[in-house]
Amino acid sequence: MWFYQLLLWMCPRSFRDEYGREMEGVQARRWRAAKGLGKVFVWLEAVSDLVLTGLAAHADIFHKDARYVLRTAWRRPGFSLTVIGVTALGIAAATAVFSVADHVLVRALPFPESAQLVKLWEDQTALGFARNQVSPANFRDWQATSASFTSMAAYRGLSVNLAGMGEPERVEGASASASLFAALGVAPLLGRTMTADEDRPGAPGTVVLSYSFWQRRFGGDPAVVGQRLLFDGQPHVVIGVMPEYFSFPSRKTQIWTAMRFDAEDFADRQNNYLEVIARRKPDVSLARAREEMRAIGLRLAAEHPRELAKVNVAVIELRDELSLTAKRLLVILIGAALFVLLIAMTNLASLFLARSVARRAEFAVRLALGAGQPRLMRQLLTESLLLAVLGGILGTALSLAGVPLLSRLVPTGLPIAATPQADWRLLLFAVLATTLTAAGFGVIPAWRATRGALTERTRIGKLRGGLVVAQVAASIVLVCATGLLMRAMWKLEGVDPGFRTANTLTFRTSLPMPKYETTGRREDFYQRVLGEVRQLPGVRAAAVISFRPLGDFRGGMWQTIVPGREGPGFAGARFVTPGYFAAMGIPLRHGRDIAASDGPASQPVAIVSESFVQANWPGESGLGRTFAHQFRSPPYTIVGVARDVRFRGLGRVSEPQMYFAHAQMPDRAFVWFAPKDFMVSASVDPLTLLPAIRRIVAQADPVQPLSDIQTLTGLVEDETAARRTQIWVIGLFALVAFLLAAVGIHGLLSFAVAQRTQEIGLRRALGAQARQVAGLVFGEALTLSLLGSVAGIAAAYAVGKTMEGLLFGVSPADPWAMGAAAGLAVLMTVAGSLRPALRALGVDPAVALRSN
Amino acid sequence: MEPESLLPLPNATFHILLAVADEDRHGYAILGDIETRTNGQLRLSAGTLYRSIQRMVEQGLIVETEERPDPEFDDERRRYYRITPFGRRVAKAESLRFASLVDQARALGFLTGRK
Repeated sequence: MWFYQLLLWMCPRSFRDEYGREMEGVQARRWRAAKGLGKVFVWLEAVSDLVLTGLAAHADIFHKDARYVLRTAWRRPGFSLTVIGVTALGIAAATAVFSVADHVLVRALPFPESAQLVKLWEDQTALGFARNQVSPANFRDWQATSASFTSMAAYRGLSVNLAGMGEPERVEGASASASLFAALGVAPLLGRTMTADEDRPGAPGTVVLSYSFWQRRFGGDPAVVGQRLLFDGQPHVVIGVMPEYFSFPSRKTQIWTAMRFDAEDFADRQNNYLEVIARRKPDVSLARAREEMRAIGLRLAAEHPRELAKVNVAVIELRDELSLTAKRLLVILIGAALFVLLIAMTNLASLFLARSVARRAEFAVRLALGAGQPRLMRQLLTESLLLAVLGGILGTALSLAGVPLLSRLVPTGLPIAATPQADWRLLLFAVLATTLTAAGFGVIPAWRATRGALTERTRIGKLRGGLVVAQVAASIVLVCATGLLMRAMWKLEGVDPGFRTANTLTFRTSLPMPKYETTGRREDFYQRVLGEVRQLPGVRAAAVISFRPLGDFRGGMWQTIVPGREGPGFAGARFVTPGYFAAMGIPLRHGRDIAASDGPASQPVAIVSESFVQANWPGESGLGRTFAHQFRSPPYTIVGVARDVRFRGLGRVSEPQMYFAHAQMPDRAFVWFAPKDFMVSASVDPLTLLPAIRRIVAQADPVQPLSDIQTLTGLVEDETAARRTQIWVIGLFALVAFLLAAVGIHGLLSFAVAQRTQEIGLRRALGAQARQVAGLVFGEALTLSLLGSVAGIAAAYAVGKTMEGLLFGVSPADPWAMGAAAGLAVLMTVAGSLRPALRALGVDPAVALRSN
Repeated sequence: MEPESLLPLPNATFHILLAVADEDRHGYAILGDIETRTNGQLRLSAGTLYRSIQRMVEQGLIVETEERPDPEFDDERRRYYRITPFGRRVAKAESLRFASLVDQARALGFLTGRK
């Protein structure tokens, strides 16, 4: 029978207490009456009976409690709506941010066993680059001599012109060694991926398409495999299509072609342009792999002391390739969401505490009438659970709506989807948060209230006061953080990039090789296009450069050789056509612009940035000085010095720059640096020029597409887009926090006034002035908000310290941000205590005293 | 409350009302009575019985009695139930509902074959 008693625990306690013994009796008689196998049947029946009865009896009680709760909730809509709203806000903030953070920071990359994937870099920390791209020769040697990896692959960004099917289009892709797909462990959706044969020079061109490209250009036609496409005029046979979720190295990648090396590619170990990825063997730890690669790096350095003296290998998990800024933005948002959640929770705690005090009389009566304490607890749990579930549903709906707005915070550089998918994790989180909210803030105060031990009012009052202080402090932290980030953004937006942004259009024409491998051929194209563009009405100046500022192609750092200077220097290299500095509004500090007369036959010339001169010939103008770079021995003569510009983004000071004349570029040499970004400065809205420009380019070369059409103003705005989203979100959180804190203050004071009606009435009767009564209320509010502000500002300073990396030089103790927060705190206090103060003033001494 | 508002009664409820109609019975006796009257076709489980009893007490159809009609065989765990006047009215209303159904069935000729 002990087993039956155990089974009885599935029924609600009240039912068990009432009928448990009777049911046991029935079971015992049936057991005695049954014979043989019948006894087994009696037991099986008992098990299923008690499961069903238990569920039904619980449902009965829930149904009853829910009806009771809804009736009470209906009678006190203020309380119920506040609880639902507060829960919804807290849960919405937390789930939205956590789902983005989980997507970007936590969730495994969409590759099998993705934890085994690593990126390999040349570690040139000694030269100032902790993660540098890899030269083909080093890649070849790493691949041949390492034993820690099942496969290793190299790839590089690729951008080709697709012609021959409708409008010419610029396609972003990657050229990759055949082992890339094996290393990532992803099979194609259709056809096959590259084989080692296709890595050989001279093999026929093949291409693997991304799912989105296949859908967009071929409408998802499976017969695409085997078709020939013209990329940069070269035929490529489509051999496969990748699955929809696959994007590598970034979301923009639309095609993959084979990567081929000629013998000469291996000649120079300082020609770094490869990205390298590898898959660790399952039994090799990351530390082991690092150790092995370090040993290989040291050996290569010993074999090639001239080129690799200070070069080693860095092995980094693919997951950790996320930029520090992207990570910081998200971590700060997580912190902010936690604050909102904290404020929401303390608010709920405070609400339920107040309610339990207010309902003490009701509980006492019901306990006296024989309702068991557990039964009462259960009803209160049902109440808080119902309200929390409603809040949770609302909050989850809000966060589902909000997540797409946060997708700007998902970096494009990771091979993951743009928008996080709402999945069971998000729901689980919401369910957990909801249940904990209900249990924590419904039951504990209820437990205390139903214990009968009448909790002293003052203790509850103090507890609620503490909660309000915490809310004020947390909202101050959020406002301070918002303020600091806004100040940082304004400062960033106020940065002078060094060039003029207004009314300047940029677009890219990446000229395909080998069609344009001679400088003369390219020069003809540029001069024809530029000549006609300059004739357009409203155009002030136009030119072409290898890589425009604020672009994704950063070009490369070239070693410079300066006579009389020890050791190599580094500078960014760019080739330009005459008129570039005028088109960009970059002032020339000394000398002249590159001229049409600087041709292949004349003396090689260069324009360098001020910092280049500063680094090599401090205190001089630099004009007339000569230098060489690693790819060419005849020296260049400096004919002009240009102002420094921010090439790599507003937040970073760029390295010294060298600008060379495109006309003096040798044929077939470093064609990667062939100018491709046109800059057109106009006196009108430059986008209106676009149709005419398209026509001009199409006339010069009908199969040449235009891509990356942008205004410089737009580019500068993009620089701060992620920050703007972040500030927008944190600002919203701060607003919510402030509202909640104001609600908290208001609730506490209203309650206190209600509880002290008699005292206030007595004071009025004894001659207290309205001013004194109002002072009583405001005084309490002010004390709380002052305590909260002091704690909040101290915490805000600590928080500001941790996000200094994002503050762009704004001090965490910024007086503006802190002042604004303190001001808002005062405002919130006044707003929150206004109504309770008025109510206190409205207390009629006669009525208050009579009710006693 | 109007007896009709509870109709139609759940099967178990009606049978329990019938079982306690002529004398007060305890749970196990109710089960036995139902089994006898239905020739063993209706065999309620303990859970169904006591959940029904709980609801019927709440609805005022039956009450727990203080008297022990059969003191000799009584043991402390037995509780006896008695039908209330309201319970009788409800049982009657349900019986009339059945009777009217049977009348309708007869008018349509469903019962002729058995006569």
